[in-house]
Amino acid sequence: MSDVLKIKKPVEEGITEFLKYLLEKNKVNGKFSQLLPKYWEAAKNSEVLPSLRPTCTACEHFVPALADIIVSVAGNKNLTEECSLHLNTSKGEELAQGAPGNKTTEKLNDRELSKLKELRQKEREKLFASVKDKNLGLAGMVKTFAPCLSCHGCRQVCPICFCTLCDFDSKTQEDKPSHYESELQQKGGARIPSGTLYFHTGRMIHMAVSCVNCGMCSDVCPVDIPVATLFSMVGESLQKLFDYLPGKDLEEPAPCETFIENEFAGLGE
Amino acid sequence: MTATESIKIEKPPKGASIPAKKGIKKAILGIFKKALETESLDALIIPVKVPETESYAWVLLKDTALLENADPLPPVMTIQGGKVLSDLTKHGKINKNIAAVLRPCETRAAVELFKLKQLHFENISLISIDCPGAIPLSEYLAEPEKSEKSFGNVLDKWDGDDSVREICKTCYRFSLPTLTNAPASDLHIGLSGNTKDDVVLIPVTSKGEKILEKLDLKPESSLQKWETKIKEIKKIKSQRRKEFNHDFKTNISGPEKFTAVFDGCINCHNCQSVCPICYCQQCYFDSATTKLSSEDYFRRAKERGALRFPLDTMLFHLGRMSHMALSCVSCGACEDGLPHVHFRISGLQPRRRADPASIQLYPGNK
Ligand code: SF4
Ligand code: SF4
Ligand code: SF4
Ligand code: SF4
Ligand code: SF4
Repeated sequence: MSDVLKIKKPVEEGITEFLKYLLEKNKVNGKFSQLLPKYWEAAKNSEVLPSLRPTCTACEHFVPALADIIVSVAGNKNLTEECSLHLNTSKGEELAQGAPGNKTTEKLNDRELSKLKELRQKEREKLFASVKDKNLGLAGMVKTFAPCLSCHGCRQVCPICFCTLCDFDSKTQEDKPSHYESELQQKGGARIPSGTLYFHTGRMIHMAVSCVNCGMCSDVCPVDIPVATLFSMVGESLQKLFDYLPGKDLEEPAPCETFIENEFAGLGE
Repeated sequence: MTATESIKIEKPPKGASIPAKKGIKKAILGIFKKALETESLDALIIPVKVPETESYAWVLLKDTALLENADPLPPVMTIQGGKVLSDLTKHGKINKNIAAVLRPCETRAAVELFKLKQLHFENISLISIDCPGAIPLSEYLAEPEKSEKSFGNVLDKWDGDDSVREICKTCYRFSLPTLTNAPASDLHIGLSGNTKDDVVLIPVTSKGEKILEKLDLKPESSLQKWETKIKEIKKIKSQRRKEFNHDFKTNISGPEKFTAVFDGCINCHNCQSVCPICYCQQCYFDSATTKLSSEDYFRRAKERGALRFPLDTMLFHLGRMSHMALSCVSCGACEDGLPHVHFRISGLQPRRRADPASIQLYPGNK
């Protein structure tokens, strides 16, 4: 048994009001509780909240097209009055059969969704333009990854990097002392650990075509390298080449599983 | 015979004093330059500021031009130096005469890695340096200029600034362990406390002695002033450590408080991958053994009513602790390696996180 504070409001509104109260009375501090009401407001009004993670402000695929049930949030003006579950597949319909609530037939609010999509696309252009010259190209990559600790946290949290033992953590990639001796001989110096850029470009080659722009790799990076922005950008250009959107279709084979003779025959000519 | 395969010399009564009119770092780099030019050393391992960026990288160098941006005592610890030495010599001895310039917790990590057969000391000399601490990596990255400045203050006043990492504030092993105990380095650089007129090079082993000899430096200066200062600081820091450990114990005792420390853990294993002591190629907790079948997950979910993902974060932390806490050198790399996500979510002051470092089991230099 415990005391219950009953606020006669729909749950989002109630929570928002309660959080506002806590903030006003200085009962809590911290950005998170301040951001939460703004977060719901922005969702309702199809706006881009600047304090989101960079790759989230630039995410165009915010409607989970493959899901069995889609909870309508983005651009849903009725967010505070009702909770709409769109039964997207027969599995979803089956799950919802007999559940309390009224059943109607509705489409997701296309106008609002495309408004948000447009805004996000603009953000995406801005975001990519901001990293293009600064962070890509050999000089840019060297600078960008200069503070990298080689912790491989970005790989560890990436949903697409699934290998139990990453090649870049394996013995194959460990240098013998003789490697460093010859580096000393030839260049007068060598960075230890070696192969930082090699790891990042290698990881990029392995998985960028399936990068889902989720932002985890940036979130985990202890030295704030915009890993997700870069992977997402390189990923997108690769995905365009293959006319492929990762995670869109269960039946569509991943480009790395598909062999097409004479694919990109023009390359290298 | 010691770990470094060199003979410990009896209590080194004296050191070679080097004038530091243009600053202690310049004075130290001057010595290194001479050592490379005269081929007293074939190469050095030392942190170097990466040009045009706010970051430090470990560089093995023989080209003295690269010394331009080197820093024997950078404001941050990026990659733990013991780990760097292991990267270099894990697969065998190096055939060059090399000295590595490390913070004391890094030399101790190197010694531990040697015992764990992850490092070869042949041809390698350890040069340690009195260390006033390091600025938290996240703070340095957010405000590099401010951090460089406050680190300057830390170096000037030694214990007068609280901008260094928590673990450093309470680090009483910031200098030579003791002058009579087993050597943790071959040559020690004493920053003579709050007088900035000179630095003193203290030979600890025959290897260190040889380096000085080749450089034509005679250990003739008394160490008394330096020793007094070091003892003073050690006393303050040991006391602080005691208090910290006491508070820490109160704050984490009991399963509830202990799990609360890790409640933000996202299982990235960064703490493990940056730890110099966690050397396993494939950590047990990342191995296929720890991935259960879906039936197992269902069974566990049923038994407990719910299952939190990722699974077994506590098992990982307790397991890691029991695997390596005996060799933990209290270097703080695991805290520095945490994703900032911890701070961003809470928006609160960085919380004190689990700190295996505070388990005072390290036998090396009690
Ligand atoms: S998470 Fe950051 S520091 Fe760690 S390997 Fe990736 S880019 Fe480097
Ligand atoms: S943004 Fe891409 S690379 Fe980064 S974690 Fe997500 S899927 Fe992996
Ligand atoms: S723990 Fe901190 S103060 Fe102690 S030696 Fe390491 S960096 Fe220096
Ligand atoms: S670095 Fe932090 S979040 Fe990652 S596994 Fe360790 S405690 Fe958990
Ligand atoms: S557990 Fe943390 S403090 Fe201890 S040696 Fe490893 S990184 Fe350093």
